[in-house]
Amino acid sequence: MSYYILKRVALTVPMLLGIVILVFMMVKLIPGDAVSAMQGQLKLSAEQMASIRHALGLDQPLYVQLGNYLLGLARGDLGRSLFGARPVRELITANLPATIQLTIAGMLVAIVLGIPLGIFAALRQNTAWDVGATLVGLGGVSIPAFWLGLMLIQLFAVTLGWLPITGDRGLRGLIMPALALGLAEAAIITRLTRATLVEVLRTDYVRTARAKGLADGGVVIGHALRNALLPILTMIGMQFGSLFGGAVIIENVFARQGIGTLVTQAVINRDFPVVQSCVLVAAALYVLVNLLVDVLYAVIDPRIKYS
Amino acid sequence: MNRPHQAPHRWPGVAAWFALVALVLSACGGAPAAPAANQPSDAPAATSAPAATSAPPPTSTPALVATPAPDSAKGGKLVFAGNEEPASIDAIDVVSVNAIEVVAQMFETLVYIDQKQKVYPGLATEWQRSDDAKVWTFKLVQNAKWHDGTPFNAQSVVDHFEYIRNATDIKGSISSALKPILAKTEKVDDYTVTITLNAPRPDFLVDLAEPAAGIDNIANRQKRGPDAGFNPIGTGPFKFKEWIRGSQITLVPNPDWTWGSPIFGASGPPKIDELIFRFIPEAQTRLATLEAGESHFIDLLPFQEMKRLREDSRFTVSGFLLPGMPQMNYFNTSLAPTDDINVRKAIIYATDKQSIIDSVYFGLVEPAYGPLSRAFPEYDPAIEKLYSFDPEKAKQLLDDAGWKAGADGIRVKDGKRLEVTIVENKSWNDWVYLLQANLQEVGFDAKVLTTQGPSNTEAIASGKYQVPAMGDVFTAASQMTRDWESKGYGTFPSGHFWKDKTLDTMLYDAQSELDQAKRREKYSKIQFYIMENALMVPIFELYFYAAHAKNLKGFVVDGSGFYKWFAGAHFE
Repeated sequence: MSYYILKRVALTVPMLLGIVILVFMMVKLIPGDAVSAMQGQLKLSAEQMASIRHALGLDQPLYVQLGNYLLGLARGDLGRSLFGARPVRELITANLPATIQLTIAGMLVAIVLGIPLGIFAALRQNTAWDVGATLVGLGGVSIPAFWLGLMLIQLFAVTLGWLPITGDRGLRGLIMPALALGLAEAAIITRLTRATLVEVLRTDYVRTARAKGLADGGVVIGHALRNALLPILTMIGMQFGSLFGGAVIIENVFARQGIGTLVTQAVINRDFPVVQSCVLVAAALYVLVNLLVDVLYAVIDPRIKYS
Repeated sequence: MNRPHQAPHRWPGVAAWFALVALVLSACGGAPAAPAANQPSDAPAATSAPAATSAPPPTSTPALVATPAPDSAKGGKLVFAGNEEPASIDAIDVVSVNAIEVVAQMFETLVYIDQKQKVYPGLATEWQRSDDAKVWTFKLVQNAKWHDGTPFNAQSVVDHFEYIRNATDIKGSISSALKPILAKTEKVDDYTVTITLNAPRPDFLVDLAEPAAGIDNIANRQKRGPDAGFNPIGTGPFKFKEWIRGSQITLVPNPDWTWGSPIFGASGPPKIDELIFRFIPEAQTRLATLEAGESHFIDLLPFQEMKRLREDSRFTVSGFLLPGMPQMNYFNTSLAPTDDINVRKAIIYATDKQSIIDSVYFGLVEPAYGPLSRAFPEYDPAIEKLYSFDPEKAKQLLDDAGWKAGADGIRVKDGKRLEVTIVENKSWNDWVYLLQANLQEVGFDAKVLTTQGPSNTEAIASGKYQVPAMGDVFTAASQMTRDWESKGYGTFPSGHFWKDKTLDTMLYDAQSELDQAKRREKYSKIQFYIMENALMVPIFELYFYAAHAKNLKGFVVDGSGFYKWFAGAHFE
């Protein structure tokens, strides 16, 4: 197992390097750079623009810029933002915890709502309850998180005055963003749980367990659900990526601190050290979560061995 | 190694992140143009809603100069909701409008200017200029201190302007405008300085009164290096307390502040306990925070929400006419077919600005007629008679120029179709779609290119598009030079690509004119020159709307109509 984990971690290095180069090229290929972003507000003369480009190192050949960034990266230096000169590491350190907190909260909403609803629908297959749960799931997938966020704000903050919109970094301030982020994922988990569980419930060993006189709850939770969990767990791992991406929108709707708001502004400003480092961190996190999912397989299903 | 069965491919998650970045990148690299210097980076969202209202542009502006807070005034927290978090709050390198809003509370300027262009003392109590408007002498306040307790004096002002003059990478909006005109700054005595300029500058006080022209503490700047923008030390009514990245900036009153400008109407430290700036990109969320009582002041209001908000007794909605160059479209005179004056004039006659105002902006802005806003004394109302909405005349002009209607309604000349591209700066130029329809009605094949941020400045500077949309906010007529002088040919924001020494001479002559009557006459000629040569199509005068809690009083709006000073703010 540890050999497997080490191998996976080692493989992430060339992958992350590829991601850095790819993102660097994407940022450089589009028209405009950080100085033309400033020009939109300042109307600098050609000489002033050249001077700032020189000071920021933007007049150097692309390979030199990339090389400098990679060398810095090897030393653990993510560079400085081209706007405001803040160290990128500091920007990420300040913003990442909030995004992880929101992603985990969204994931919890998705799991806590999705799995029970899926079980409920599977156990009452083809009844009005099942149709109802399916419709709720369909609605969850169809409603854009952005719109849902605005509706939640109108209901819980403006009309009822129960929850804060911005400024509260505690649990209360997390409820609406987590709901807006997690509901669509909950719908996906509901549908997957229902489908998988329906299939498992038809298998021979479930029938055998029931024939042996086990209680319904024991059969579903102890036997059927455990086997149905593998694809659900895989789905949850995949959803981490989309939740992390969805946090970009939700952070903007709720004006929350986070990597999403940071990277959006950085892309608009062509602030490539910030963009690259944010994507790098996101990719690294994603790899880490997937590694964790692989390890969890072995915990849930003892038949799985990594050697 | 046994791979777990039923494990689907998990790369879509990473792909989603790439797709996200690619999507944002492509949105930025897309098509069109935007407002120029000092414009807010978010615009009131336009809608395609019909129904023009007959409401006139609001004028419920607060008092130009605040009156002192009554005894019943309350403190508490004042939350201001802006739209975008600044990258830094550096007094000299301040760039974005939200950064300027914060900086203006902590750093004081030598003088202040109200919306009637009246000049008030600031850190300078008296000023004098030489006859040629090149040497300016300022007497300074004598009891002022920096936030770190060190005294403010003539050397502070010398250090500030000499730093701007000598630094090689100045990025601030006002600093970069001042840098080329500064010759030297000298200390006369402990509280007197002279600033010598390279050329006459009658509007120098207007430059110095910009909220982004606050005097910085150079010692702090040199000590902190690149981190100075995160540890600001000014002399102003508010001191920096903390910046929670991605969330808010908190300022607290400066208890020593007793030397404030009379424009603030505050003789002592601010009444409010904390001034909090939150940055909320989504306009509807910004509005919701006001309605939920989480913020007390919001700006960049969506036009479609204005009527509802103005009818709500809890809030006051104010509209401020922004001086500068009205919202407009340049004509690129270096590119066919807008290199033909008849085509340019045809576009002006074909543009139904009143429909644009009624349907896109709900009647909450006013039509514009030339390159200068009516906010300036130099504005010449005679310009309003020059053109009218007359599509028949537009068709006639195009016919005369040899553009004949083809089978599909698009005009053709020498086998070439009458094609133009309108450049839009996303969320700023929502009128361009009606302009596109207006042009199509008289036989143009008009396309809209949407751009944002750097891709907008690149599109305008490239000269590849005929009709880029623009607008510019500035506080003195003389600042129109930078939009029109041929020195800016081929760079943003000179989307007109007009290179004529006559216009340059007119601009330089007018900006150095000291006599008010002659100055007006000269600017009148410039306005007519630009419109007679059809270098632009003016669309509307921009009103900047802000809403605040009704019991919030005592804040002051600056000369540009955009920034607020909260030194005298209090709750009643």
